[in-house]
Amino acid sequence: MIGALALAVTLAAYVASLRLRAYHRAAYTTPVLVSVALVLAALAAIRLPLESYESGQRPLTSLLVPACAALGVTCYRQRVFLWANGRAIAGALAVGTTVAIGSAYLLSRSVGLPRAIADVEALKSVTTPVAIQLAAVVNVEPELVVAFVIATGMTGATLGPLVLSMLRVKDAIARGVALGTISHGIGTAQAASESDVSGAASSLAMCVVAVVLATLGAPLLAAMHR
Amino acid sequence: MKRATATYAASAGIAASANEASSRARAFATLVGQLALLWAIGAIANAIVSRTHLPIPGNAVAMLGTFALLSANVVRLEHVDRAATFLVRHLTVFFVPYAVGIAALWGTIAPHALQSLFVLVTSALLGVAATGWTAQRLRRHA
Repeated sequence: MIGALALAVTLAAYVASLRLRAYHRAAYTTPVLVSVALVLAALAAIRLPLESYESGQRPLTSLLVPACAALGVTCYRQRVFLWANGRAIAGALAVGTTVAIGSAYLLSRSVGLPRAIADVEALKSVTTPVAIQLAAVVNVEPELVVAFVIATGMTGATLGPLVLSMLRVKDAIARGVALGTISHGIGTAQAASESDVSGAASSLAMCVVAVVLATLGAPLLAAMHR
Repeated sequence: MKRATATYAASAGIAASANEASSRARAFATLVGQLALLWAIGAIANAIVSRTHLPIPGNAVAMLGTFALLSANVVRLEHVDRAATFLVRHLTVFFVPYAVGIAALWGTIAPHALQSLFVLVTSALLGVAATGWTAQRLRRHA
């Protein structure tokens, strides 16, 4: 009973966040951000403890499994695009993820962040459904990873286009690849609002990064700490 | 005569709405069926990973596996496209519960919040810059 109520809270908050986004589109009206704020407010209002809330969310979070298969479908839809721009996309992904992960590690070290947080900083560009499972590979809480992943998405989506324009990156495909590589789904939404080509490039980059970081990045991190 | 026309119009209206309802029901059934198919692919991928103890997220294998099944024509796009569009459009709602859970972990992050944010923003933007710049160069010289 409490489980059903908790689930209803999430769904109601999400629907409300979509309404707000339709009414006013801005970085701070990103559905996930608004949903979380609304859920936390609702839990405080009805005095439902966080543990009871979480126990009701299984039906929703279990949908992450087919959702990842669905991302494979997204990737397949862009296959012609992938073959046509394979070299540029692969090269940009290799350089971009190396810079993102390398700088995250070096900066984490230099400001003295604990190892667990440094790992999360390194993996923060992966799409959330994959990130949740990556957490288990490097042995940190999934909630921590999700928070960093969402923050990265929002950072790239809001400031990324400015940085790209400053560097005179005008090519639609290049802009899309950059946003999708670093800011996954949230960046893809931003890229799609710039142009269809950018959106396609971005969703493709997001899928490839998820697979590359999951198959190479995480096992590498896990091995380093053994 | 007039009355007959009115009755006809009314019954046509009812027939139309019944038709609409049944096509909606059919669309819903298709969606559920396609969801089940994607779920099965994902579940199998996750099962393979947990059986073989691969240090890879099962969901990444689900993504790759779906791409491979579509490329090999084992699964056709029209078997999964509606459910895929639906799931990707509403992807964010599935991780709202995790994002809410961060409130419970706030105690662990709070002492490092500023440094974490600094590292996050700087490395993300360096990554965006490096990716975009490289992609544009490679495309010009392609």
